Amino acid sequence: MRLITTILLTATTLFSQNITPLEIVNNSDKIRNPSDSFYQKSLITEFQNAKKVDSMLISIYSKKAIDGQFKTLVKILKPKKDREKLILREGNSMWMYDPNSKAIVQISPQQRLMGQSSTADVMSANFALDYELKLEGVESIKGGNKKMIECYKIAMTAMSSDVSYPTVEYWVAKENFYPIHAKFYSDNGELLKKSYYRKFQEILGAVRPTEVLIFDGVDTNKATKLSFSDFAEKEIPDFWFSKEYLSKFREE
Amino acid sequence: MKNFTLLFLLLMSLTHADEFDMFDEIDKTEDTKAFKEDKSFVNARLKLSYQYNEETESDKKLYLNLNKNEKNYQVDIRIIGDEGDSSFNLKELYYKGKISEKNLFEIGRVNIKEGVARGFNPTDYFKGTTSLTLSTDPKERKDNRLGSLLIQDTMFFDNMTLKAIYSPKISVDSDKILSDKEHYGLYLDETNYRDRGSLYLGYSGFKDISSSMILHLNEDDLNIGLNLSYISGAWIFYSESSMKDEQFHQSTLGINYTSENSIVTSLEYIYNRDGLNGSEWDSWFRDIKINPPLAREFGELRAKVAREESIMSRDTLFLLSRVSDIETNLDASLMVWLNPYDKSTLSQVGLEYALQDDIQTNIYLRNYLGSDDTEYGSFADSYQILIEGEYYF
Repeated sequence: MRLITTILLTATTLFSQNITPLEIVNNSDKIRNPSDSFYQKSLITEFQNAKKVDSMLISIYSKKAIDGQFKTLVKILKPKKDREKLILREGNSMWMYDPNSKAIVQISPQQRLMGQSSTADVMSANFALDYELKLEGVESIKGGNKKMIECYKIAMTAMSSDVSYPTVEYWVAKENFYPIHAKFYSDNGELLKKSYYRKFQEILGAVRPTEVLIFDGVDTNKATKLSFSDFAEKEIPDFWFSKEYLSKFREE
Repeated sequence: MKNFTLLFLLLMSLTHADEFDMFDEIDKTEDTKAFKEDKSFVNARLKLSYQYNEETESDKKLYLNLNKNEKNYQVDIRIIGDEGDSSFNLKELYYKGKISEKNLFEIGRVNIKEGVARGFNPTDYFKGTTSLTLSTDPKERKDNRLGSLLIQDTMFFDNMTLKAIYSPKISVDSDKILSDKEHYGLYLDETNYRDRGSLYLGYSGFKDISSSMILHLNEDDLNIGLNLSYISGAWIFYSESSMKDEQFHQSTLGINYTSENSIVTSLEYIYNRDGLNGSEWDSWFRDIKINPPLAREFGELRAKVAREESIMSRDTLFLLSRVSDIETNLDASLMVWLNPYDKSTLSQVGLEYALQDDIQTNIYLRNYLGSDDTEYGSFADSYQILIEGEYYF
């Protein structure tokens, strides 16, 4: 089976040599991230055996930094017990602010936010800047709409230990560079989670996914859905992404 | 070739069968109302707690927290009911203004917090003697404390933040009018007992490193605070130090690690120059044995240190480990304080369960381990059980 897969991938690679993996992932990043400075809401819903068990509503402010990577500020809107807590990503550093105690603690991007989603999963990111990319070929896979889609298969290896997932397999639609599917692995090659990008809609000048379904790498009965809405381009001052601003933050 | 491709695609679809079966079920749960925010006039939390103590009388408390954070002001009120006794506390009330786009100021009662450590913060200079509840849990202590009357100005630059704070001394006489020690008050004699000022410089221009320096003048005492943290993948290394009289006065060195299954663990070494070393601990317990009334004085000293959110021992080790969602909506935690001189420990195991979005229940088991002449073994109770129920409005 492995031999057949290799032959298939090698054969299809011959037809896709005109494009580099960097171009593919760059184009896909532009679809995942609506603009250089934007706002969106995300509803995170946790499922067990397809039954909803928990949910969280957040607002997300993202802005591209000079190095091309995104700085992100997340505000928790629901549930009530976490209301108005803030999470900031500034470079590789992440901070969590609790408005009740006014305490700011540094957290790791790997820290779980809810269900299968880590704090890093809700932060905007350009994969092209974080990973070494290798085009492994073209293959047809079943996408989030359950239809077969011809995809570029990219093997991604983290360029530093600061990146949340050491290795990722990433499938990008050959026709339009839509992100379709990703598998995230640990240092020792264990499958941590897999995601499907779904429900593509016209948003801020392009067709983009409005939902990501994340499944646990071992137990696929555990799933987390990230649904996105209220997209808007927004001028965000740089100092909003300073940890000293967290205690002064007011949505405008 | 076509057959091979079909076989390949069939096998691919079989491997994904489980997930795709769930897609339709998950789509059925679609709820557009879930995107709507719960907006209320004020954020409120009602908490009931019952603490069973092995030897001493059990403790029942009711807390009502009211918080409103608006564009131009913030107010935070804490009402604490303690078996027939109750207190009304104005934790924060301040005006928020803007001198320019990057220059913001606050004036009023503000709870200023600094520091990167989780257990003990040497550079948290404005804490004073302002804890509303005595607890071994740092999270609880930081939450239940009064702000100081002050003015704070913050300027933001590229990768840099500059803050200046001035908190005046308020005469004790004026506080008698504003406070009734039993029931209500501003307790300005506790929060503003001295003229204090701070200059804070935060810098985040170095990759993976966050740093800040604080000059804090407490009347004649000059403290220099330094906070540093460095992140490398799942590891965070941090140090927080306060220097006084050209010597380290208090320091915390810590490591934080997040495992692949999202267990977050912090280990800290805490140094307090004013704290008791091994022989000083021994001396206290020896003297109490010879002269038992000294136990009262020792107890008062302990309570004072707790109210100041300080550390009793010169050297202390602190461990905090937390795992979220061990089962759906169930979090677990382990906290350990260790006195390295006498090897006594205070450990706490906690389970926190969200019954629904607005109801939380918590249970904590605390154990004080050590002989009677040790820091943690000398507490009256060797174990406590704390049960809490919280409702969020």
